[in-house]
Amino acid sequence: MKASDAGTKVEEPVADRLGSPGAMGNEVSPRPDRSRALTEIFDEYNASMVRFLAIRTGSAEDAKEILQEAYAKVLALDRPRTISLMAGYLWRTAVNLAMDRKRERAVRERLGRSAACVAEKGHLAAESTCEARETLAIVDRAIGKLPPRCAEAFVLHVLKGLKQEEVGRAMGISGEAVRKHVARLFEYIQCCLDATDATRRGL
Amino acid sequence: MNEEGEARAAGTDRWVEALAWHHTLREAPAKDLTSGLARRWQHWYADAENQRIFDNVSRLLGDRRLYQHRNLPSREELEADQYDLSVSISEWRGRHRR
Repeated sequence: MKASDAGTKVEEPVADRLGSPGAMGNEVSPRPDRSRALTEIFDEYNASMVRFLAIRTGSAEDAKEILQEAYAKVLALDRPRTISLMAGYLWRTAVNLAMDRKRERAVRERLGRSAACVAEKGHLAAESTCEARETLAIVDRAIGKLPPRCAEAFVLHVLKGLKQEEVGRAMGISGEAVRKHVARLFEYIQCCLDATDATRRGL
Repeated sequence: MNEEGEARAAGTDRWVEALAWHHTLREAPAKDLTSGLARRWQHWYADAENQRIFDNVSRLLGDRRLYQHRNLPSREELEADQYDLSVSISEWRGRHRR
């Protein structure tokens, strides 16, 4: 697997885990060739799928659950398909499940169950490690050293969530110039993080 | 542009691309999340350096509430800003320290 995202990594090929009858509560008995195809899809696409779903849903946990469900649906297909078609079906299924999950969350929030609050608490708990706090401090210091125009783009685009065109209007520059400011500032933040990593590793 | 300059430009382009992908994946309507887009996304993300930068962009954008205390620079600071984007901020800061 190519992704090195520990927070969202699925530990083992899903096809292996779904291979035994009753896994995940599903009575799925995939044919061996389909399992092999799914393993290939997993190796090729899993990292990007997990990342996409985490961004789409705002939750690494939701991303993993959705992808498990999508894999199960692909395994349950009644007709053999090419790997390309199976990958396409997996993507479409995952997109639909993510939409469903978003709607469910909206309903829960309307009912006052405050799913967002729960997610926030989970996120803060995950952040409460020493390394995470250190990373945040590095980023905070880096932001404080940005040239003023980049800092302005950071506040308007990243913190306030304005679209690049809106930021451009506020700053009196084009949307493309805003993108360049934001790219430069992220590049600088990454540079500060990389320097700290190198120091940690004694390089 | 020399090799070093081209490498820097390529690095900045990756950040711009990562931002664009992040925006697309988060905001695009479901009808626009086609198989073709999936293939382009998977191809782009399969590159290790793209992946590293995209994951950092995602983390920074995900943590943005932690930096909410930041205010906009003052008018005086903005008017005095001489940074023109032609070099990285690290390089610019290095030059201005000398």
